[in-house]
Amino acid sequence: MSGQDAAKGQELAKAGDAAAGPVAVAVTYICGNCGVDVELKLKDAVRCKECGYRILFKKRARKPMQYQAV
Amino acid sequence: MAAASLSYYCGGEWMTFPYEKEPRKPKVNVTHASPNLVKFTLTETDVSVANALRRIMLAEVPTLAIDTVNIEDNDSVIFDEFLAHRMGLLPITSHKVGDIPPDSGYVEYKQCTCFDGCPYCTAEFKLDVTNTEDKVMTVTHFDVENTGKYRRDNALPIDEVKMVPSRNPDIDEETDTRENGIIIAKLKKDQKLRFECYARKGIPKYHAKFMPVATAIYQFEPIIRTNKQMLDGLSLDERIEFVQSCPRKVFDLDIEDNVHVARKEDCIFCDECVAKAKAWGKKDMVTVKMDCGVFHFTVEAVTPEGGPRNVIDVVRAALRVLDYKMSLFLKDAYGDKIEEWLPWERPA
Repeated sequence: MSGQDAAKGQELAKAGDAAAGPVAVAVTYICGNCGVDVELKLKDAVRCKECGYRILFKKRARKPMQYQAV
Repeated sequence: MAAASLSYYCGGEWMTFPYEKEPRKPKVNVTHASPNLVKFTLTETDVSVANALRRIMLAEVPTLAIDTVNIEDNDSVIFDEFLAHRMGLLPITSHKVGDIPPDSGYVEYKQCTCFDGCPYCTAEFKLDVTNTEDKVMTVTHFDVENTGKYRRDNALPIDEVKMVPSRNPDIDEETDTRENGIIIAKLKKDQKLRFECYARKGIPKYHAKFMPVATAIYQFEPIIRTNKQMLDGLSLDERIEFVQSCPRKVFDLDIEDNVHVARKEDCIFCDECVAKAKAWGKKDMVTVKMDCGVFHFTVEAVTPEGGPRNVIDVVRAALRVLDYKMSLFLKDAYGDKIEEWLPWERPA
């Protein structure tokens, strides 16, 4: 799961370099302090826009996931 | 048992099996039978057969269990992987799962010819709960239901694959859920849990979630010999001390205050009585030995109502699996063609 996300991030970064401009893909995180949704773009500082807290949590993927019951 | 071959391989050539006697015919005497507990005595055989039966009951009788979980929504504090594992451990009724390959019943998913699930290898379950109240909600196995997607056309209500323990009709649903529900997760307000999962056939050798029994043990018959002369030589206080030396109360005093063996079947071979006799310098007053030809089996199911499988069915299934494996051996070793195995139905 995290491996896929990392790969996706790299791809996005490469695409950004090629176009020599910021990629307009915003990812929503949850602030660890006040709990609001924070939308971050590629070159934004990792910081909550409401309270300035620097720890943000990734939201759970909203797609079905398959697991083996082992 | 499959018909035994009459030849065997010995030192480079095939010999005729030297049957001096008729083959043994082991006997089973059932002393207690209920859906969740069976006790029987196996005689006229030896440890190899008794232990094979025990090990097959523990590791090779198939049942159904959740195999794959497709999680769509999980807002609970439980991780997806953890949740999938918990689902796998829930017991599911598997009364007609099929014990040996020639049986009609379920086929193992990997051996099934279907593409992705069919009524002969899979049962689909789903769970969809949201907590709307402002208090902690407990999600139990009662919330998981069979969707019926892979229900067979000719299925009887009794063949329904479902989670056990089932609903107890004598108490109200809330109490039943609290007392007998197997907890899957707990949800806070507005948390949601939604997934579907697939039950498939397997044997406990692959994974412990397929276990049909909680207990499968045997015990040898005890042979307790007492020397009456020596016991009669004891004073009353000594006799009481001797009787009390046994932690399982095997000995007792009869109406004339003589020591006698009252509960032989409770003996656990701890040799406390022998040690007591030795301490008094009366070495041969009592001896405890094992009769290695008589096996007292105790087999217990996982749930009180006898799920995943009725425990007497587990014993019969184990005998059939043993028979089938013997036939495979005879086929591989001697080329015997065996096309009949122990039937599921009791012969008339």
